[in-house]
Amino acid sequence: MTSLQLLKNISNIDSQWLVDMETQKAPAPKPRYSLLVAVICLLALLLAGCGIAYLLHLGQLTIGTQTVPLSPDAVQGSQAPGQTELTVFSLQGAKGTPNYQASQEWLAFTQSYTRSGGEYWDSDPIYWAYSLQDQTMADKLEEICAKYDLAIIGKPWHEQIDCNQFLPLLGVDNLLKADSPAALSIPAGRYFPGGSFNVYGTLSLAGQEASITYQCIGKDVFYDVFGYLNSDTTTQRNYTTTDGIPLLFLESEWSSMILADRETCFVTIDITPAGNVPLDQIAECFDFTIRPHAPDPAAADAREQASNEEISNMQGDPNICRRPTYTEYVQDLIRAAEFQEIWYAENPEYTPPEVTYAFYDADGNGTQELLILHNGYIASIVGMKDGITDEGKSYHLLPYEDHVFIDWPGDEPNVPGEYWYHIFRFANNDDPVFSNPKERSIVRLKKDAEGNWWRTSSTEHYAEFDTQITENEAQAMLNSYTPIPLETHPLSEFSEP
Amino acid sequence: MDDNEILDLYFARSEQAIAETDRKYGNYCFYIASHILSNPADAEESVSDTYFSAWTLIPPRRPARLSVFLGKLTRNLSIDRWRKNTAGKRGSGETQLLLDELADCVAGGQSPETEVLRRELSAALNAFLGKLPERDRTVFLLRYYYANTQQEITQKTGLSANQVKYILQRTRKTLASMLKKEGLQ
Repeated sequence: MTSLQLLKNISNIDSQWLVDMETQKAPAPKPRYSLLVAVICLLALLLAGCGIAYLLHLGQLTIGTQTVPLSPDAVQGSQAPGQTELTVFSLQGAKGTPNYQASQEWLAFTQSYTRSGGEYWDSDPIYWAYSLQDQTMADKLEEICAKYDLAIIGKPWHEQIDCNQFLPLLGVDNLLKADSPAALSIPAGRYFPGGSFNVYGTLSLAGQEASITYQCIGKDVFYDVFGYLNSDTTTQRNYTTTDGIPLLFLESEWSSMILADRETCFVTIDITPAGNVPLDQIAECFDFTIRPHAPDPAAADAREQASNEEISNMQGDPNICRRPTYTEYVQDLIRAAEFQEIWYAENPEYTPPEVTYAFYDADGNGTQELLILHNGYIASIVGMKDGITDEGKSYHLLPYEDHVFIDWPGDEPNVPGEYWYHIFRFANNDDPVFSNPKERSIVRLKKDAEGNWWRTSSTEHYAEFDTQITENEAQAMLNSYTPIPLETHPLSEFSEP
Repeated sequence: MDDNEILDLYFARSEQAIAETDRKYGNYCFYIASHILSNPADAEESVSDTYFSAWTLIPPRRPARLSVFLGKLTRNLSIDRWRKNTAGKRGSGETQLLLDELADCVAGGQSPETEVLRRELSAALNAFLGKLPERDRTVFLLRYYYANTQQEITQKTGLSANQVKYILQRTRKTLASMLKKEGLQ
């Protein structure tokens, strides 16, 4: 199937999903939970350190409060939905600055304004970075910007491969100090015409990894992204880097934020999770002396286009995920399973399958293929093609004599109440290479929601179920094949045949 | 005007039905079309096609939810128009990004578009959506049904850009795994 076929078929989903989604939407402009999530668990004010020059503290940044609904998963460990009042703070400047005043005025406006437009307002692209929902909001934004002599942040460029290739266009070689022991992978980000940017990535330091959102907003623009924190669970402290840059740390049990009020820009680094690496150590990795300037629009356009092409090329690489040996292929699977552990942890209702392997000549061409089994069913068949592994479609198969396979219905039927069976052989055409897909259908069977059985009369792969049969006939067909046992082993005990 | 009244106009073959549809759902349809087609003129054409299709299909059909019916028509017509516009070359805009992202989930070979495949796929997608937590489902639909940008999703859901990105990555991975399991990849 192609991605276009998939995209188009998403139109055929049950309408109720769309209706449910529409009815969930909150009627008023929402706060930026991004920062809420980042600092939601923080506590009280703790002013530490003092001395040199200007030390930022939360009180100087606070622009108001916001009552927000809390879903059970908004606060880890909490099961109680409800509301909470959060402190809203500027991520652009301290009290008295135009950026602060503009932020405060915008917050007050959005909290009192009930939007008049539809749910979907198609704004001018220069407003895309803002949470605007109608023309009145756009007019107010323009009014505030004019009042405080700030510019609209503008339509962004996107980088989707490696932001280190875009940063030089802003006059920034690296977000990290030259001697930093950390590594920063920043695959995605947005860059604005004036030099403001925000990027997303992973910081690796001392064997730990943290997700980071790095935001640098120029002081000549207004941006409507604010910070939100629960003052009951927040700690703040000041820290001055070894090269003399004063920072504000906001810390919680599971997330942290570093703020730096610089001469030409305001830098915010949102870190989730920070692991047990001290924030001081993380802060020392970053170069807060950067002074990003406006990128050359033509160069930025070219970089965005190149980024898109690189993505396209990567996805077009037919050898991606193919390995020269089965051993390496299996190692990939084991690593992927480890990654999936995160998903399993978040979805306790899901039980991961028991994964085993076996070698078996699936298509009868004299060469054994690697079978990956989930809970005893063949989930995928991997052959070697052109000296590298070649994985085809996935199945829920059991093997039978004479190289027959039956694709049995899984736990979740294709259509609620329906059970589909596919009896087939793999073609080999005397080809020593097993390469999917090349099933030769013997027959497909279906038990519909009313309990009626149907079969295909054609061996075309996607033939319709056009002939009604009795259950006895269907069972006779399924039972007419003799299962063969496979010698399976856990992936962790893998060895080449 | 109430949806039933608009539908009555269609059934009465009154052209006022188109005007009322445009008044009530014009912005909604244009929103969907403009996220798939980056050219506003194309989006407007697509919305016009939607009205024509609705005029052709109603009657005999009487959609239970006119908004969803029109939205699906607009989405399909816009994707068809996008495909026609970009035939033989790599496309651009948000739709190309969507396709690039969804490429992670599919094997890439052209499958025949039979009713059996469509049914299998829509059933699989419904099962997939049913398993997603509500928040993840919303993010998935905003991205892959309404073709919202990630930035728009952050604005609509209140999630951070990182969270949206992570949720989309995770749901694509889950979708890929499910499609693979169902032999639909």
